[in-house]
Amino acid sequence: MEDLIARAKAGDGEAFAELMEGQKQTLYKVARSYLHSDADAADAIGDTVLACWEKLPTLRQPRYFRTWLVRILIRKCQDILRQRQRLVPLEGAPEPAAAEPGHQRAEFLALLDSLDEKYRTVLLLYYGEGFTTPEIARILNLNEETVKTRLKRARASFRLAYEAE
Amino acid sequence: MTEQDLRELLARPVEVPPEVEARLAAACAQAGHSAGKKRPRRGLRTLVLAACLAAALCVGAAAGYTVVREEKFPDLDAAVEAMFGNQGRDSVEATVEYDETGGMSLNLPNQERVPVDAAQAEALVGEYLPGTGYVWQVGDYTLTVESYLLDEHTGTGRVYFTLERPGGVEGLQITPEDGEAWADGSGISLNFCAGGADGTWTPMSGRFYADQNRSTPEKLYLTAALGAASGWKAEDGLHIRFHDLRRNRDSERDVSLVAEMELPGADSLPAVTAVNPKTGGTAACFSAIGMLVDTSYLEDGDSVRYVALEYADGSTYVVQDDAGNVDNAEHGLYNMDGTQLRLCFNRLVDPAQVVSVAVDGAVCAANR
Repeated sequence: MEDLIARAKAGDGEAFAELMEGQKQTLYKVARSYLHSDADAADAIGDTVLACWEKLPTLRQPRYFRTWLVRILIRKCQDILRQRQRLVPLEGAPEPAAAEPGHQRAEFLALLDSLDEKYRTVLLLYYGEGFTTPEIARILNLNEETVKTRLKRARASFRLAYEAE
Repeated sequence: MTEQDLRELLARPVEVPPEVEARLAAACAQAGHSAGKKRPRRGLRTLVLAACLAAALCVGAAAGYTVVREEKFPDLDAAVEAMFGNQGRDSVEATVEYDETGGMSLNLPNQERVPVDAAQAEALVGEYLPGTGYVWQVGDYTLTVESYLLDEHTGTGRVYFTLERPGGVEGLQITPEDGEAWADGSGISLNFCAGGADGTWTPMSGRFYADQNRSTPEKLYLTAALGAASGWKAEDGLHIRFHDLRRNRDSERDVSLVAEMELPGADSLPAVTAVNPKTGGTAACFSAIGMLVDTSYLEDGDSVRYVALEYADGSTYVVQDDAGNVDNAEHGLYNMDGTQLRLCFNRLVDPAQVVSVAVDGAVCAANR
């Protein structure tokens, strides 16, 4: 991946596209942990890709590329959430039909929905994407101890929820 | 479901919807299309933003705010006096006031400010003070950083700077009792930011204090006492974010940032550790400007009541004493778990003269 990053930084569009393709799963899952529709996730990801292309020369350490990319994505997701809070849906406007999700995506989305919003992204980044607590702290702009506390509480609430079943 | 189940479910690949695939491909194509026309390099963009020949250490500037930087020979004597002395900032006697309902309306602890020994300061920190000061013109504001000290071991920093504007600096209030300067939201504000390992910059926690003898409405003489979680490097320097808070009035988003400027790196001050008497591990570390205390072994880690440095000559610098209502720290912050306390001193400390650190009854010998 570091070779792809170096080539993309140098302006190689094909290397950049390959780099983004390799991060597609991470981008989609993290976006969906924030946003409630695939359409919004698509918007956030599109904006993130363009921002990444523009700002890639400012990335000093290629080994932190994923952390950096996810941080950009989360900012875009937060912008979309703010916009959604301001917009009042038109009455009578039909909602666009969503594609029927495949089995694995349905299971993934159902699991996300079952997780407390406070802990959802931290759990996804830690268990799903393999980020360390210092990296998650950077991504979410939190103190590392806060990340550890949220993980601890998330695990505790998760165990409680499933023990009750 | 177990933790392992959770990990497997979250980690396994899912089908990405067609609209997301399409959007990703379109964005990559758009980026690839612009690849032929060279993406402007950061240095070129910076020069485009700057209005004059001097190189601008500026990451970006909002419309209406031109940012220009110059270097200057610093006034190091004034910087040392401002950062460690008692010029323009008096000792404060404890003041407690109550309102008509019996509620406490003011609670200022005892604060003792001491004169700085210029020769001692030169010996202790002289080699760590950068030899260059910086002046930025941000719109009609002039921000001058005379000097600064950074300590990556304790995660503390001190910056001496001035801020001036013809007609008056807008939006900064000065508390007359202790000179603390704070943004009231009606004008500008500043953040000093520390760099992370991934290249992002995060605002440091901190307090600003004004020299009330020298400051005027048009020119404030300020010292910043800063703290940030470990991991940042003094050699990376700091970023200074200049905000115009009035820009947020008609926006749902925070659009107040009008300029981000780079303060170049410096050598970190060295620090000395103190030994935990129970575990033999590190209980604290301290430098000339601040300290970091491991409070995890204390009964009330996030509510420390007493911190003092004991000197070889028998004297004591009481940094904090809740029972005695004493607060001789410019700034203090706990981490979120209450296992670390970071304190910025209100005077210059000679670490070589400190024999022990006392924290809530535990005496931790300095490591020699």
